Order: sequence, then structure tokens, then C-alpha cells
Amino acid sequence: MTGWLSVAHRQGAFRLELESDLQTGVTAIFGPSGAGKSTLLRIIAGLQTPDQGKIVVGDRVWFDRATGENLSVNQRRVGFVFQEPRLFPHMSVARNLTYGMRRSASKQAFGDMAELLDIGDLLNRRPANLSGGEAQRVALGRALLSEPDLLLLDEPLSALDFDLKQQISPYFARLRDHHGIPILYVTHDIDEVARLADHMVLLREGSGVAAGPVDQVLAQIDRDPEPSADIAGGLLTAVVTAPIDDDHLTQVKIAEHILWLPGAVGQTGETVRLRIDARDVTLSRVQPEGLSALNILPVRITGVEMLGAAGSLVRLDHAGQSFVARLTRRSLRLMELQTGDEVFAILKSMSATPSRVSGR
Amino acid sequence: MSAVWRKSYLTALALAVSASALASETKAETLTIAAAASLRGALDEIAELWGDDTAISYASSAALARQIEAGAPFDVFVSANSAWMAYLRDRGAIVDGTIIEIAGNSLVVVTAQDGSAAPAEPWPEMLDTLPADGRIAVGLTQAVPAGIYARQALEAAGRYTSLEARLVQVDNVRLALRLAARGDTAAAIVYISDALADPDVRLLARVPSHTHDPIVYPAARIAGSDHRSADDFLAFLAGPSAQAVLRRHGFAGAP
Amino acid sequence: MTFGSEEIGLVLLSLRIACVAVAVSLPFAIGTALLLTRRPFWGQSALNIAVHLPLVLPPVVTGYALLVLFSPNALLGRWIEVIFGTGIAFRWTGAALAAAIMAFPLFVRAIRQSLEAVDSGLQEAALTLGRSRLGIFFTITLPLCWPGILAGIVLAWAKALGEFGATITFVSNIPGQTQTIPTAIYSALQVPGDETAALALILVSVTISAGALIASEWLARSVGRRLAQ
Repeated sequence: MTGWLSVAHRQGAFRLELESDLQTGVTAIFGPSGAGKSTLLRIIAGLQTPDQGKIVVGDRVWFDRATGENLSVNQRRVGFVFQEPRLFPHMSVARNLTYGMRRSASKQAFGDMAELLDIGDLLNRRPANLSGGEAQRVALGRALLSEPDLLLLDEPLSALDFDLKQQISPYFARLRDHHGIPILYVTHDIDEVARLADHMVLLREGSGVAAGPVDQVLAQIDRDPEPSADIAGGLLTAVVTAPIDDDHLTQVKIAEHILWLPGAVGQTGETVRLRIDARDVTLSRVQPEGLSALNILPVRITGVEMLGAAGSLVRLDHAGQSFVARLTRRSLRLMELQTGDEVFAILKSMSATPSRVSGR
Repeated sequence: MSAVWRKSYLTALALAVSASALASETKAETLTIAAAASLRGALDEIAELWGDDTAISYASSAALARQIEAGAPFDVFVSANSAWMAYLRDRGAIVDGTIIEIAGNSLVVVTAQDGSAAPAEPWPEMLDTLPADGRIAVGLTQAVPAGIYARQALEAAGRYTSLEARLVQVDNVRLALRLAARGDTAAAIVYISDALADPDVRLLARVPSHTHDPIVYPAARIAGSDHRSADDFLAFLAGPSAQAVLRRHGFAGAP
Repeated sequence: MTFGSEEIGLVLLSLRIACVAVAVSLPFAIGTALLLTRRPFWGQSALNIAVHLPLVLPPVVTGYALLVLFSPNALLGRWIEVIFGTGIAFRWTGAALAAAIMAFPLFVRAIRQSLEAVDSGLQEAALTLGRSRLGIFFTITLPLCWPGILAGIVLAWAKALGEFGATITFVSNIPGQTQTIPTAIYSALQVPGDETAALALILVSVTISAGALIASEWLARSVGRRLAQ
């Protein structure tokens, strides 16, 4: 543990209340918009003062209502990447990057960062001439070069379109692996959580409703169907068995079953984590043939839950790994699905990231 | 950029201030005169005749009097009326014994050079010959000296109330003259000294000087002045060459 | 009136008065604009009113107030004479003060608008990068406001150059010492039938002012372009 925070803050009718450890690695602050995610980050950074609470990072107390301790933003050594890049328009990229650097910082650090984030070619440009993805990378580099004790990322990918997100998220993954500081990553995209986070805090209407390692919290979400049906799904662990081929697919295996994932997922032998959205799972009584979908897993139904108007969730198990499928009530009725049935799950899409859970 | 900008700002500031320090050395020998603005034409000529270095600050008599009261570094004050001179004398701001009246003036009714009005009648009957809807430009009848004199004359003639609605009151009698010269008003009541110098107007009538307070221009030495030629200049103002200039500009000579 | 050395001296004096008025009041204008754009504090609206008073008062009133405060016979005026060895009433420095005060509301307004236009998100970002508020002001806020400040400088300068009422009331109209282009034009207009004499000065003043406005437009545009690149 490298920090600890306890915050209570009222803003009009909205109430934020959270207690959490700060762990090394990426902690996703996940929740729907209006859950207080951004307010939480602003409070941690010192841009807003909470009504109550205490924030400790490393061995320094940043804020303590009880003792009156309240470090100003610029004393907190916090890195903050906002939704929009907030680059200084009158400075070159290089000047933006060095803006928060300490005098003691080495040239080496600058070069390493430029390489890590692949921005070496942009240094002489003005922010206005950068693409959204480039600008956000520069913003990230700028925050890191100030050598923060804690990095706050406020939906840094939300303003980018899908392709740009795909381009930039490897940089976040690299960053995660290179810096031994706690990173709080605010997002409302469960795929990002699955891809990038080690831990997560589920925030709903200002309160933390679940916290812990990502797979545990996601499993917990899946066990709690009512409010979180739209983020239900599952995480499967697979092993890369062949490198990317001519069709741009990577072969992975779960137990004895082969799946094909688009793009380069990892090195052969590497363990990867697959995030599946419950809406992307279709069930079939018979082994499907002549289907365009490549990925089919035999599964056993372990439970069926009704979701009111939202349909139903069917809990599935494959070789000890569980995930959920979301079906309409009618499909459930027509297929007469019941707990214990053996069926086939057709996976329409998945997102994969190298798993660090097993890597450590 | 900010460092460059700060530096250039400081340099510019330093340059401006040091350059000004050099230039603002006041010439101790210069005789500084505060004079009513309406005296400008004549007084500039007189200063030329006087020969020595002078600087003449022209403004309204009221503004100058207040500045003198506040300690302005003038040597001589020439006022356009005796009220402000009396005001300063009562406060000890001028040297009492040095007050002299250097000139007088009188009021006339003028119209545009190419206007239709003809000088058929003397004052005040001529007022009735102006077009019935024609306006008459005057100085502010409560504040500007020329306006005050005009009001007194109109009242003495028994026509102030009937004409009041047709009076265009302006804060500077020179503006009244311009209004008449451009034909914007049918006539104006102004100083004869101004009227004679303006080729765009012609005289309709003279206003008898006994129908208003005497129009005099008193001059005096300022109490704070130690300029050795201040008294000489006052004497020069009363002397024949200065008086000739004043008369040529339409002023009555010293009484 | 011909345009001789006397007139050139007059124009130079006017330019100097306007330049010094603007240069000296610039830091105060920026400071005041900052105070007025900050979160509300006690006395803020009073400050706002005080700053804007010269805009709505007749200039003669402002000039008279200065005369009452700073004349050699007034307390403040005497202090200044003791401290600086020279007074400001009836001197070019007084003309600069009058011009500065009359131009101040326009100056502050222009700077304030440009301050408000700066994205506060950038200042927040700079704070999280560990910079002090003063450092941020000089490295972020000021450079980004620069076009607006420039426009304010030109506007204030043009206003200072054209100031008449407060100037003639406070420092009189002494040739070579406190006579400026506007008060010289006023003097010239006192000679009946001689209005053309003032024309040269009027042309000079129109040319300078128009040139300044064109220059500021051009500067603001080029700075804006540079920022956008």
C-alpha cells in the first residue's frame, strides 16, 4: 500500500463518500457518469477541497481535515491527465513536456519518455498541430515528467474515437508497466478497465460499492445483476499459442479450446485476459456450423437470472472459468434453458490484454 | 517570451522616464502667464512684442483661478472677468496692489456673412426683426461670462423672458460665434473682439455697455511668483504698444 | 500656425506623456484586472466602481479632484514634493497622471476581458505540474493574454493622447511644459477665424491615433496567428 484516502464531500444534492487504499499499479475508478469520479480526482489533486477526510500519499499527508493540513495543488506532486489534453497552446511540445520538470531532472528521463510515448518527432510542433491521440500522449508525458507520487487520469481516452483509443491504449499499458507509482484511472468504459487496470473501485452515486482486484470486482458485478446489467460480462484467462498470422489473427487457447483474436495480442506462451461483454454472447443448443463467428466455446449453464425489462442473464462455466450471457426473455423461454444444460457460447467480440495477474 | 517581454517593458519604461527627466527641466527665466482663452490672439502678439521668453497657458478663467488657488507656478494672471480676480484677491493668491484692468470688451449681435438679416434697427428693436423661429446663440446664461452679460442686457431690454426659449446656450462663447457664422442660428450675442476677427460673420447691432456689468480684463501678479519681470510685464500690458494690439483685436483700451 | 519646432516639441511631449502614462499604469492595470477577475472578495465591487469612475464622471471633475489632492498646497502634493523632490501638479508628470487615470478604466476592461478568456483549465494543469501561481501567471496567463493586453495598451495610449478635460484642469495648458495636442488644439481654436491653424494638429492626432489602432489590430492578429500554430 502506498497511500490511503477517505473523503466525504457534499456538492448540492450530490454526496461523495469513499474510503480506499492507493495501490501501486492502475486502479480504475469505474462508474456511470455523474457518479462523482471526476470530483474525486479533483479533490485528490487539491483542485477542490472536500468537506471531510484525509489523503495520504507515500509518507506525506496531503490533506487532513482534522489537523487542518492541506497542501496546495503545486505542492502535492500529483500528475493529472484531464479528459482534454490541456496543452499550453503558446509553447512547443518540447516546452510543454519540460514545463513541470524539476531542475534536478535528467535529460535521460526526457529522452526515455519521448521514446516510451513515441513523441520524439513531435517535439517542435505546436499543440494545435497535433492529432487528438498525439496531444493526449504529450499530456501524459508532461504529467509523468513532473515525477508525480500519484498519477490521476480522468477519462484520458474518452474524447478519442475508437481507432485512436486502440492506438493510444498500448502507451498506457506501457506506462503502467514502467512506473511504480499508484495510478488512478477514471473511466466509464469497462473494456478499458479490463485492459488496463489491476484494481478497481466501483463508484455509484458518490459511494464506492465495490473495490479490489479487477477480476474479483467484475465477478462481483456479475453476481449482482440488478443495477449493473449493462456492464456484465466476464474475464477469461487464455494462453497465446501462435503469433499473429497473415489474416491478422492471433491464436489463443482456453483449456483445450482454440480462439482467434484480431490483431497482435501477445507473445506465444503469454497469458492474456479476455474481457467479454454479456451482450456479445449468443447461445446455441447445437454445435453451430457455417457461422462467420470464429469463437465458440462449450459451456455449462450455472444459473439463470431475470432482469426485469432488461431481459435475463445466463451464467456460464467453461473449464472452471465463468462469464455471463445476456438474452431476451423470449429467447430464454423458446430455448428452454435451464441450470445444468450443456450449450455452446458464440463470442462475437472480445478485447484482450496481456495479463499481469499471472505475470507477477 | 515572457522574460523578453518583461525586459523590453522595463527598458522602455526606463528610457521614457530618463528622457523625460532631461526634457522637463523648467526654464527658470520663462515668464509663465495664465490667461483667459479669449485673449489668445492679442496676447500672443503682445508676448512677441515683449521679446523675452514667455509661456502662456490658455484656459477658462475659472479653471485658471482654481489652479492658481491650488498653487500653480504662474507669474501673471489675466482674467476675462473681475469676479475670479476678486476671488483670488480675497484668498491672498494674488498680490493685491498689482491688479490692473488692461482691456475692456463689449457685446454685439452677429449673423452669418451671407445671412438675410439686415441691420435695419438698433438694439434692442433689431431683435424683433429676426425671423420669428430663428434661434440666438449665447454663452450659458448662468455660467459663461459672455452669457451672463447677454442675459443682463436682454433683461434690461425687457426681452429675456420672451426670447429665452429661442436661446441656444453653449458652454463656450466661441462656439456661439461659430453657430452664427455657419448659419445654424439666426444670430449670436458675442464679444466684439471675437466678431471682428471672424470673416464669416457681420455685425447686426452693438449692445449698449451700460445695460450689463462692465466687461473688463484684470491682470495681476501671482502671490507665489518671484519672477523679476512679472511687474514689468504688467506695466507693458498697460503700455501703448500692448494697448494698440488689444484695440486692433477689438478690445476696448484700458479704462 | 505653421508646423515648426514648437509644434514638433508639442507632439513629442504629448507622445511622452501618453507613453509614460501607459507604461507606469500597466502593472497597476494588470493587477487591478486580476483582482477584479478573482473570486469575489470584500470590497471588490467598491474597487470596480472606483476604477470605472473616471469613465462616467465629467473629465473636469476628475481633473479638479486631482488638483485638490495633488496641488502644491494640498497634503498629498506636499508629501510627493518632499519624497521625490518635485511635485506633479502643473508638470508633465501630472499630465501623465491625469491621462493615466482617465485611460485606466479602458485599460483595465481590455485586460480583464483577455484574462477572463484564458482557459482556467490550463492554469489548473500548470498547478498540477508543480508550478507556483506567480510562475503560472508569467508563463501561462500573461503570454496568453498578450493580444488583449496589447489591445489595452493601444486603447489606453490613444485615450491618454487625446485626454483633454482632466489635463487642462489639473496641469493647465503651459506651452513646452504641460501643453498637449488636445489642449493646443483648444488654444488654437480660441482665435476667431483661425480654425485652420488647428488643422495641422488635428491631422497629426488623427494620424497617430488611426495608426495606433491599425497597428494594434495587426499585432493582435499576428499574435493570434502565432498562438494558433
